[in-house]
Amino acid sequence: MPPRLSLGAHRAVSRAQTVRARLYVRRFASGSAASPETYDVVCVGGGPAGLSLLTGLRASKITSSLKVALVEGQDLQKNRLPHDASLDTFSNRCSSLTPASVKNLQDIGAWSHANTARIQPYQEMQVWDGISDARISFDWDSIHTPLTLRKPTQPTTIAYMIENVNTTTTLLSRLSELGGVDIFSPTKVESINLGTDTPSLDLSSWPILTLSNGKTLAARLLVGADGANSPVRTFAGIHSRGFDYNRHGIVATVRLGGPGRGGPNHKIAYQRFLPTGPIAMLPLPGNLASLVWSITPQLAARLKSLSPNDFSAMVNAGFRLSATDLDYLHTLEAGQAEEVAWREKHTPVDERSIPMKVVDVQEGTTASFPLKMRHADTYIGERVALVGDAAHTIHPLAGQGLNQGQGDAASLTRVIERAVQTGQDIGSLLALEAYNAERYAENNAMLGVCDKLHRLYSVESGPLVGLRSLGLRAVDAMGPLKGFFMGRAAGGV
Amino acid sequence: MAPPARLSNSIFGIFRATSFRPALLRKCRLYHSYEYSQPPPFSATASAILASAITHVPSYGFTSTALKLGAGDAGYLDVSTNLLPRGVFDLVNYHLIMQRLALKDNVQFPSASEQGTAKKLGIGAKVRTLTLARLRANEPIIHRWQEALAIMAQPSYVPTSLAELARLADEIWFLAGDTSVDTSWYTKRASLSAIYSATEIFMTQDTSKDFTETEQFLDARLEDVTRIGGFLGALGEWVDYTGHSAVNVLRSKGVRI
Amino acid sequence: MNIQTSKLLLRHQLLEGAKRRISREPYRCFSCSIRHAQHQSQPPKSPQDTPGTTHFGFEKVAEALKEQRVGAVFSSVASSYDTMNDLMSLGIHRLWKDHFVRNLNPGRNPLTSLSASERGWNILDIAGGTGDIAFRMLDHASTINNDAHTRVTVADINPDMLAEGKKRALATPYARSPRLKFVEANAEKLDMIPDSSVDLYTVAFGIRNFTHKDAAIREAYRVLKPGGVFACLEFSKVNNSVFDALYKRWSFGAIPLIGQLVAGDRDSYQYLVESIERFPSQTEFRDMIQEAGFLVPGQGWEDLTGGIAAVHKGVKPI
Repeated sequence: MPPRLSLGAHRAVSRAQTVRARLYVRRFASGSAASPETYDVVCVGGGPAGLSLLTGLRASKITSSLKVALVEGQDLQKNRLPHDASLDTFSNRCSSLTPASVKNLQDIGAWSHANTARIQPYQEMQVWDGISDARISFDWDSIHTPLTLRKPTQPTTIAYMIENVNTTTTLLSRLSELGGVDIFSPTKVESINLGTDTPSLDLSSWPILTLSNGKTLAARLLVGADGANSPVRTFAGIHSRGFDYNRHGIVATVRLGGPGRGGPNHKIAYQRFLPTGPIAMLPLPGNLASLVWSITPQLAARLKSLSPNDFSAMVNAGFRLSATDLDYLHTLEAGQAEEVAWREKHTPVDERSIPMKVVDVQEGTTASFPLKMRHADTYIGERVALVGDAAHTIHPLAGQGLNQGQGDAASLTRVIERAVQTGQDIGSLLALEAYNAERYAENNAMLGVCDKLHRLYSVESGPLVGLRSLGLRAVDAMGPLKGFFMGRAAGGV
Repeated sequence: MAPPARLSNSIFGIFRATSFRPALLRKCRLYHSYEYSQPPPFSATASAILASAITHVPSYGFTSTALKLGAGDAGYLDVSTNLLPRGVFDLVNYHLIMQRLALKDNVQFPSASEQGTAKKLGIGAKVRTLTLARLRANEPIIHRWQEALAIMAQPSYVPTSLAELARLADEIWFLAGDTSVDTSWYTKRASLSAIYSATEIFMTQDTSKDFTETEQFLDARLEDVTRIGGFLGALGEWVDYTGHSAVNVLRSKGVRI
Repeated sequence: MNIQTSKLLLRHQLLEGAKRRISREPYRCFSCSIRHAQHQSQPPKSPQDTPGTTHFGFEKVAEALKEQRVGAVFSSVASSYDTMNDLMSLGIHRLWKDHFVRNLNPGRNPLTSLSASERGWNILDIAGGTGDIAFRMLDHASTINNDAHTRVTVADINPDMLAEGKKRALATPYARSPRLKFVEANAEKLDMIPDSSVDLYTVAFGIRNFTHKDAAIREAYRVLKPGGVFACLEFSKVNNSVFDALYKRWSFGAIPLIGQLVAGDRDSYQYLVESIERFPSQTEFRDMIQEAGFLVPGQGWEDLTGGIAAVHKGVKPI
C-alpha cells in the first residue's frame, strides 16, 4: 500500500491513523487476509452527488487526510465525455445546474475542468398554463423596477444546462487531479454487513462492504449515493416514503429551427403545464435543445413509437395547440405531422413566447423513465449518510433533482470538515446530525412544492384552473416576489 | 314444516331443532353453501300464484288485480291471494328475488380455457355486464316499475327492499369473481347498490332505443366511482406521506418524537 | 216455561254460581279483587281435566252445559254487544274489523273477471250474529271492488244475536237482497252448507266461545273450496310483558266492574274476560289451523295493537 501521508504534511489528529497503524502491525503478526480494509469514507455510487462529495473532501484541506474510497458499478473511465465530442450530438440526460451548484463546483475547483462548449447558460424562462394560457416569465433583468438597480453580484443567468456525463467527467477530472481516492470501478457491492467485535478491533458498528472483486472494505462512514433504489439505505433500515405519479418522463435531444428567439446570447427555457404533465424545452448550445415531457405511460409508449417526423410534430403541438387538440392527436396511430400542420394554421400563437419549431430529433435519444417522488425518513444512520437520489427523488418539473444532490454533497462535506476539526468520529450520529438538520427540511419543502405544482396543474377544468392562473399572473406582476422565488430556485444565491 | 336434514342429523339432534329457531328462519339458510342448495325462497303454492301473477303485471301493474288473476291462472281462487302476507309487496319481492337468482343462469362468462387468446374480461367489465343483464331483466315491466318502487318505499317494506338490494349487489360481485376479504368488500357492495338503484330509477324514464342512455348512465356512474376511488386512495396516500414527513422534519431538527 | 221465567232461572243459576264464588272468598275491595284475579291469571293449562268437562271461563263445566252457558251470556249481552266490545277494546275493535275486512279484500272487479262463473265471492261469516263483519264485507265488495255479486251468509248459534243482526240489516241496502242471508247454525256442525262451496270463511271474536274449536276448524276445511281461506279475528296474547301486565289489570279489574255499572251484568263480562285468557296463544292456534290441513301465510298470524287481537289465516290447498 503506498504511503498515504507525506511525513511533513500538517494533518489533523485522526483516529483513522492509529487504527491503520495497528492494522498494519496486526497484518504482520497474523497474516490474515480476511480482515477488511478500513477507510474513513466509502462512497457507494459514482454519480454527480457522490463524485461531488469525494471531490469536496479531497479538495478541502481539513479533510484531505481522510482515507476515502469510491465504489461504482459502471466503468467510470469508459463513460467519460471525450474532449473532442461533436457539438452536433448531445446526450438526452441533461440537467439544469443552478448558480448555487455552479458555485459549489467552483469552490471545489471542478468547474474549470468542465467542457464549457457543451454547457448552455440560459437567461430567461417562460412558464405558462396549458389550459388558460396564464404566463409567468423569469428573467433577472425584468424583476428590476426603475427604482432598484441590479447589483453587480447578482447573476444574469438563471441556470446552466449541462449533460450529466459532462458533470461527472468534470468531477472525475478534478478528482484524478487531486488524487488520493481508491476507485473501485466497475465493481458491484455484493453485500453490506456489520462487522464483528474482535480482541484488537471493535467493528461491530462498522459497515463492512463485500465487493464483487472479493475485497472487503470497512467504512467509518458509509455514504450512499447509489440512486433511488439504494442498497445502502436498505442496509441502514431507513424507510423511503412517497408515491408514484403514474407518469413517464420522455426525454429527447431535438434540433430547433434556429438558435432561439433571443438569439445565441440570450437563451430561453420554456415549460408548458399540460393536464397530462408539463412539457419543457431547455436550450443546448447551437440549435439544439433538450426535451422533457411528463406524460401518462400509455401515451409515452405511443409517442416513443412514432416516426421522427410525427414525434417532432407532436412536440411542436405540445407547445402550440390546445389541450383538446392534443387529446385528439394522441389517439392517432400515425400521421400527426399533417394534422398538426393543418391545425397550426388555424391556431393563433404569439411566436415570441413559444420555442422555435422542432425540425428533427437526434436519433436514439428518445427515452422515458417513470416519475415518482420519494423521500427517505432520515438522511443519516449509525455510520451511514445518504446523498442525492438515494435520499430523495423529485418530479423533474422544476429541474431541482441534481441540484439538491449537489447541495447535499456540499453540506455533508462541511459537516465532515467540522467533525474532523473538532476531533469527532465522523461516522457518529452526533457528528452527522447537523447534515440532516441542514438539508432535510429544505429538501422536504422543495419536494412538497414540486408535488403540489404537479397536482395543481393536473386539473383540467373547474375553479382551480382560474385560481391558479390568477395566482400565476399575480406573481408575474409582482417583481420582488418573483425575484424571491427565482432566488430560492437558484439555490439561495 | 320439517327442519332441514342437516339440523336433524347433527350431533345435537337430541334437542328438537324446532324449539330453537322460529319457523320463518328455518325456511332459509343464513349462510351460503356450495354443498347444499338453498331451499326455495317461497313455498310451492306461493310460487305458483306469484309466477302466474307476474305474467299479468305488464297489463295490470303490481296490483291486487294482477295477483287475483294470477291466482286464478294457477287454479286457485281470488281469496287465495291472502296466502301472501304482504300482498303486492310479495309480488314485487318475488320479481326481485327471482331475477337475482336467475343472474347466474342468464350471464355465463367463458371460462379461462374457453377464452383462449381473447382478452380476459376484468372484474370491472364483468360487474358491468352483470348489472346491465339485471337491468334488462326489468325491461318487460319497466313501465310498471315506478309503481313497484313506490310499493318498496313504504316504511314497513323498506328494510326488506334494502336487504334485497344488498343481496343483489353481493350476488353481482360474487359472480364477477370478487375475492376481497378486507373493508373493500363492504365499500364495493355499497357503491354498487347505490349505482344500481340510481340506474334503475333512470331506466324507468328512459325512452331511448334499446335503453342506450341507461347504459351510458351506468358507464358514467361506474367511472365516477373509479375516479372517486382513485381520488380517495391518492388522498389517503398523500395524507400518510405528509404526516410522516412532518414528523421527520421535526426529528431532523432535534425534536424528540 | 216462558222466556221470562227461563231468564229468571238462568240469572238465578248465575247468581248462585256467583254466590258460591263469593262465599268461597270474603268480600274484597277493588284492588283486592285485582290481586285475586292476577293470582287466577295462571289457569290450569289442560282444558279438560276429566273427560266430558270443558272450561267456561275459569270454571270447569260439563261440555254439554257450556253451550248453554255461552248462549246465556250472549243472549244477555246481545243488545249491548257493541257497548261491551267498546268497553273491552276502547273502541279499537271497529278498527280491527275494518282492517280485517280490508286485508281480505273481498270481491272481484267484474271487468277483470274472465268468465261469468267467477261472479262474486261466497262468504260464510260464523258467529257474526250482529252482522259487523258481514256488512263490512258487502260494503267493501260493492264500493271498492265494484262487485255486486259477492254474497255473505251469516251463521250464528244464538238466535238473539241473529235477530239483532237482522234488525241492523234493515239499515243497509242488503236487507232484502239475495246477498245477505241469516242462518242459525252450530259452527261444529254446518250441515246446511255443502262441501267446497265457500270462498271465504270468517269468524270474528267468536271462536273462543266454541266448545270444540278443532271441530269448527275441520268444518271450515270441509265447506271451503280448494284455495279458499279461513280467516279468524280473535283476542290473543299480548307480546310485550309490561303492556301485558297493564292489559290484564284492565281486563280483570275494570271490565267486569264497568259491565256491572253499564249493563248490569258483571258475570257475563267476567266470563268474557276469562275466556280471552283461556284462548290458545298465537302459535298454538296457528298449529291447530295447520293440523286441520290449511296452509298458513308467512308466520300464520298478524298481531293487532301489540297482540291484544290477532288475525289468523289459513288457505285450503288445492
